[in-house]
Amino acid sequence: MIEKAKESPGGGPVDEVDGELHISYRQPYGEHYGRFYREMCDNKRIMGVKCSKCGAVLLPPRPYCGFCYEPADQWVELADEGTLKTFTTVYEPCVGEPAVQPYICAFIMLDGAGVHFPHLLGEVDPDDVEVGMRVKAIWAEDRKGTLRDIKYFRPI
Amino acid sequence: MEEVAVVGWAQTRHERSKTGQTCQKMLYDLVNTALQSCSMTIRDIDTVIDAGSDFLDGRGLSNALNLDAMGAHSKVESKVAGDGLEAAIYAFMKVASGMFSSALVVAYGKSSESSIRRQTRAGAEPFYARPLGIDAVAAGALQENAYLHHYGIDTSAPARVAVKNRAAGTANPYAQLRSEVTLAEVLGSPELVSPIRRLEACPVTDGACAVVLADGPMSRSLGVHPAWIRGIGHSQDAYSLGSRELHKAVSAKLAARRAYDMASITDPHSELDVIEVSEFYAYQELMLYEALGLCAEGDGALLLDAGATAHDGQTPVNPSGGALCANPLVATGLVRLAESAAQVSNRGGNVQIDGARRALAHSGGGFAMQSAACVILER
Repeated sequence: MIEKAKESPGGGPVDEVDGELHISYRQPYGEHYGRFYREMCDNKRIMGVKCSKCGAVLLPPRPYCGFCYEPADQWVELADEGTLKTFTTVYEPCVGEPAVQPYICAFIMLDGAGVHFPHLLGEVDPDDVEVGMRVKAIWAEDRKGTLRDIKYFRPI
Repeated sequence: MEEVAVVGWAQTRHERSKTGQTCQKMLYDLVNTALQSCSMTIRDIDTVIDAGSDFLDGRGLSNALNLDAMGAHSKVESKVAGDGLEAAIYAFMKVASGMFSSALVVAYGKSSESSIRRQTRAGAEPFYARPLGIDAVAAGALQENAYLHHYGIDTSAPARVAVKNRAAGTANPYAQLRSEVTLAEVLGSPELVSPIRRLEACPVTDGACAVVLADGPMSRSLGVHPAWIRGIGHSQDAYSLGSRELHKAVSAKLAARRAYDMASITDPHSELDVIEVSEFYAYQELMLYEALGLCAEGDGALLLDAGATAHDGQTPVNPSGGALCANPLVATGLVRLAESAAQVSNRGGNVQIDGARRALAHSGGGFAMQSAACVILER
């Protein structure tokens, strides 16, 4: 917490105080994010988990199915391509987001998955994007075990 | 008003850092254990109330990410921005109203992921407290000094609380600190913020607690000993430290009085078999003896030294070791409820007080015990 007294414009006594709050966090991937991103990094594979009750393949992987509240303990490899379900072209980026603007955020139903996978679209003009189009992951050369190990999806 | 009981509970093994485990995995395992403890499934739960901290989690409305891990998907859910014992009080009211037959209460905190002192610093009033560098420890230290000075209490009295609770914690399988400390070690530990010594302050803890509440018919059908909720109380003192009688735990006194009135308790020292309090710093336990009516104001240290609050005393306080042995922030008070429920249903294991039938669980919040909640359980 850092405060700085802010003098009034006329140079008189303080009537406002500027504050900033900096708190650093370190949050663990844990077992499931850990394996998910390791597979992407090492093997260019997208892995989901399958609910032991409803059979849906869930992303991101987690130890349970939130719909059934039953274990989701079977790992399943998904295709790195799928169908575009919705998208948006971002002209006013939020802090820390991709340098190339505008960028296109997309929800993709990977073949074999039961829930959407969020990512970016690339190599396509925003005007040419359509819900329902087929897209495929373009993998990064330099992978570190994050969501950006996939650069983006591009139309097939 | 429907009868309501605590029927199931679970707590994590509390640790300095649950490295390598997401909060969601911790909660999923915890809730399943709590449900199993009372032979219920998530489908038997009508409503979920959780307690978490956006600051601790590093997200706004931080319950949202944890909903499915807690089994709240598609259920009536709400979050309390306070200790889990306050969430339990809301859950009690929801079930007592007759609108819900059962409720799951979950409280969690992973303090290892960020800086607690920065967060409590941010809790200070921006124009009147922050410029002086007052955080939770400093506020507690101001209170301790006010208390010791007002009643002329020896500065080693809080250290004796730490010795008692750390010894008790050795029997608690969930405690973070499970080693005894000697009086000389406590007195010799460095002053963090005078007069609070390091061994008189709670540790920084990762952990969580879940408690299941049910109405009378459901409680009686589960094949467990219900811990009936007979009294609840809550109170908020002034936010501004300067506006309070710092040498008294006023909010705890009012919260306890409300709970005692509801439970028809007139002499807590003889009518309560065990008490679990949230003493973030050792001196607070002495002040809470007084606020909870176990002794006269200023006599907390005398009560301690007479052994009345020891494991074999007339009214054992913190047989689990209390917050000095584990302080999973936001869950600390709910852990007191789980420990109390275990006591009155004779499921206390190594920390069981023989024949305990009636217990009080306390939670505290804010700087220098600004807020307090009390719940009374009975076999």
